[in-house]
Amino acid sequence: MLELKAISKRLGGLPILQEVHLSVSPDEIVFVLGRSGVGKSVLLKTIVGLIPQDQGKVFLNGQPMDCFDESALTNFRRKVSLVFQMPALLDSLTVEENLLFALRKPFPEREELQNWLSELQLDVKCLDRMPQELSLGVQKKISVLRSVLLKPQFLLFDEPTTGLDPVGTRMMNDLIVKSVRKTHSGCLIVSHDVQSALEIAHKIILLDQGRVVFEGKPFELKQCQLLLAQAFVQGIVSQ
Amino acid sequence: MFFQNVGQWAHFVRLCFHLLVSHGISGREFKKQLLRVGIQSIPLTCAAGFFVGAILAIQIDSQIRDFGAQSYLGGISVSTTLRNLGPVLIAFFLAGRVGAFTSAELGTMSITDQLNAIRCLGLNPIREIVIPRLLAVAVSSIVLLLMGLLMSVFGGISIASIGLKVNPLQFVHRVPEFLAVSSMVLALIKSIIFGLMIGSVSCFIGVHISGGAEEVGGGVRRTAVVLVVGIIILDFMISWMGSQFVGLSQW
Repeated sequence: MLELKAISKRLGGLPILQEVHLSVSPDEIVFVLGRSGVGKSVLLKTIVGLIPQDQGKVFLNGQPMDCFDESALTNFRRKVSLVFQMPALLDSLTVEENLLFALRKPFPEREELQNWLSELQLDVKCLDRMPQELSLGVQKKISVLRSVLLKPQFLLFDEPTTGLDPVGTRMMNDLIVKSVRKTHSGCLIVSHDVQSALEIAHKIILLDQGRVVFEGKPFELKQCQLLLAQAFVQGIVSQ
Repeated sequence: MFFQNVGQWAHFVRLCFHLLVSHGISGREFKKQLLRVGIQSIPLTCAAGFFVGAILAIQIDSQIRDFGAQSYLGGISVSTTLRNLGPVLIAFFLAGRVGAFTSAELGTMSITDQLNAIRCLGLNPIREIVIPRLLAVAVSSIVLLLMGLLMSVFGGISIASIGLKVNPLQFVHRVPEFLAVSSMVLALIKSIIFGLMIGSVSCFIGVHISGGAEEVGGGVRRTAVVLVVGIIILDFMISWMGSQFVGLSQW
């Protein structure tokens, strides 16, 4: 289980996260919803140690993460992988080299990769292309696949559907659900996309001014009387 | 601020050295970078070296011709090229071509989260990305500097025989009188130090760029300025130390 206990973070003197508690179990998809600038991306970067928290602890299977020990962090990040909002593929490498980069060995089963590519509706020929030759949607899929192939225990996504058309959004959601099912990993997604959250989340957390103001199942969000929750459900929160 | 930056650079070099010794290097990435920054720079470096040698031969000829000392042209121009101006001018060229390119590439990788993405895959970007580039740039710079110096000698001989009507054999004949072994060692030392400096400074500034396109531009400019000023200061220090320990006449 991935747990956050009382995580607090200030940036530029302003409180970004205030005593955030949350947990993600294996095979579970958790969405963190919130307005822009509410600290969602900071939350993910804090979990993987890119931004050290001021207070609180991150626990993986009961073990606290030490964000100041580089080798422990590297080991932690092999188990808890973050997929960035922008694809962040290495633009000096081909798609195949990008996928091989983290594995550090040839694909054990080429068939496995081909299965993933066909599920993503990608041509095998795209493996030889450079990332910048591909559309944003395809790059995002490759970026997710790069992390999924590592078979981490937990996958973290920063705005996975931002910039995608409705078809691309649907495919990205399918990819997340499939990867959770196949690898039995837990999944924590921060997003504005309430529609995707209602479709695929097992649990939704609402973040406002750095605090968790709602935690529950998708149907509970619909029934929640909080103004922010109602605004999200009705889709009237500005991006 | 200056000392803080120098301290951070020294820490960065120490970290790279530690990771290189403890974890080795990604051979594939190193070869790829060697091809990109090294092999592709050979034609331009050779051309630059050729013209440096040619320019020096013309300038020195205009000074010594009136004294009827043209027979000394080869010795003076080759020793001047190898000992001082050759390494410095070719290092300037490499700072602009290789150093700025590396800094811009790493800076762009930094602002587009590529380096963070590598961290989030459980890898160390210093080991995977920076060390192969640093070594490739350093090795390339050293080899290119030496190639450039050889070409500068060739440039001097060519312009002397074609443009200044000096017999190539006469040009070469006097070279050993002016060019001691210590001068060639000095050229080698300068090439190694300038190469390591170009590699380490461009990588250090590149990975610390954050923000957007403006910051990448600023980082590239900073790399060029630091390298040019650093090369001049290092050249002075090496020449001064050489004169203190070996004696000015032999250098």
